[in-house]
Amino acid sequence: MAAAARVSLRRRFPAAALGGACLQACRGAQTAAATAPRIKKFAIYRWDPDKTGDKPRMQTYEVDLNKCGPMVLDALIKIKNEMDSTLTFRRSCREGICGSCAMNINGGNTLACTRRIDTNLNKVSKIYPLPHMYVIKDLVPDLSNFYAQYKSIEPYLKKKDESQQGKQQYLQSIEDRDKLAYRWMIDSRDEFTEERLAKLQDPFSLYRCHTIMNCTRTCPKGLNPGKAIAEIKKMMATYKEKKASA
Amino acid sequence: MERFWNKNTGSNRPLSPHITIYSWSLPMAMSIGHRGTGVALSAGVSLFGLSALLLPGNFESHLELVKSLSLGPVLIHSAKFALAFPLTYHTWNGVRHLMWDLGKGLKIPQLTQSGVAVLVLSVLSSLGLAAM
Repeated sequence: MAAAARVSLRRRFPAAALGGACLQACRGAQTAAATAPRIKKFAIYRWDPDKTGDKPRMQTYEVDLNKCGPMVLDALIKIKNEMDSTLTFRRSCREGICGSCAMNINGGNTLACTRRIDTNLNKVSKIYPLPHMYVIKDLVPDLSNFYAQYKSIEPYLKKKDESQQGKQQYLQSIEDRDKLAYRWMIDSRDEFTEERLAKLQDPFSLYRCHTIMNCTRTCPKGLNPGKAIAEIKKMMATYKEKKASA
Repeated sequence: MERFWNKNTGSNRPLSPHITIYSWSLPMAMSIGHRGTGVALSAGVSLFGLSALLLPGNFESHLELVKSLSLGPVLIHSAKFALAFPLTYHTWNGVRHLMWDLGKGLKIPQLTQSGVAVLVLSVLSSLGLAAM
């Protein structure tokens, strides 16, 4: 029985894109051959821009956890492959580093590929796109504003004297590398600190932060952006503004 | 960024749900509480000022009015507690905010600890003030 299940699964999954998920599902099928199915419900936000008059709605899918990988992304891929191929979401590395599968799962913003499915079968897993963003389709938000904001902070090293470029590795002390939390400001190799701080000198860029700390709570990589922003605010209060505007 | 706004506000794209679906946490709730108590306190002070200016009689006469209603001590005590709580909560949470501005206590476990400490202190000081 287990062998038959394995063969049928292999035919359904195209090997190229989903080798990883296929292998996991195969292993799952083998061990689960003798046990009862564990059905988990997923309520997923759906909206189709091409269907006129369509309103955002929740659609429920049932997935047998014995035949599915442990992460929410595994469930989404399984649903897309076997139940509803119109389900749309972003994904890429499936290992928690690229950030493509960011979405709101059971009320918290995380990556679907690193969030384990809650195995409590009495609860429905609720999946929404990232909150308060324009929805392109189903779980895909419009991130262009976010990218524009990232571009505006100039996320690259800037040195006053570029003539030394490429000659030697720019060295840093161990203490310097420890502080890479608030990246570009305190990177000792970057010499534009004062200009970067001056750019934030308006009521919106930095000061919309009210230290609610949801950012640190939800970070799937364990970073502390709340603290970094607090440190930037401290730097804003103490740097010499005359130097930058001169 | 302007292109983003023009494109999206002109389209029929929905905005993904936010406060209806986000799971609540203690720091988040306390932050809203800080704003709420702040607004309430401001309104209270303004109302007090306006009343002093516009209502007839002085403070003593209004105090006598409340005394003449002969409300039970439990009700009086609860009312005093309800008036004192926003003040104490906002004050203690304000201290917590000032610590954050110094860059201290911004790790998640510290957030929960300081949050609970603020709540306990607020309740105790409100009880203390109401008992006076």
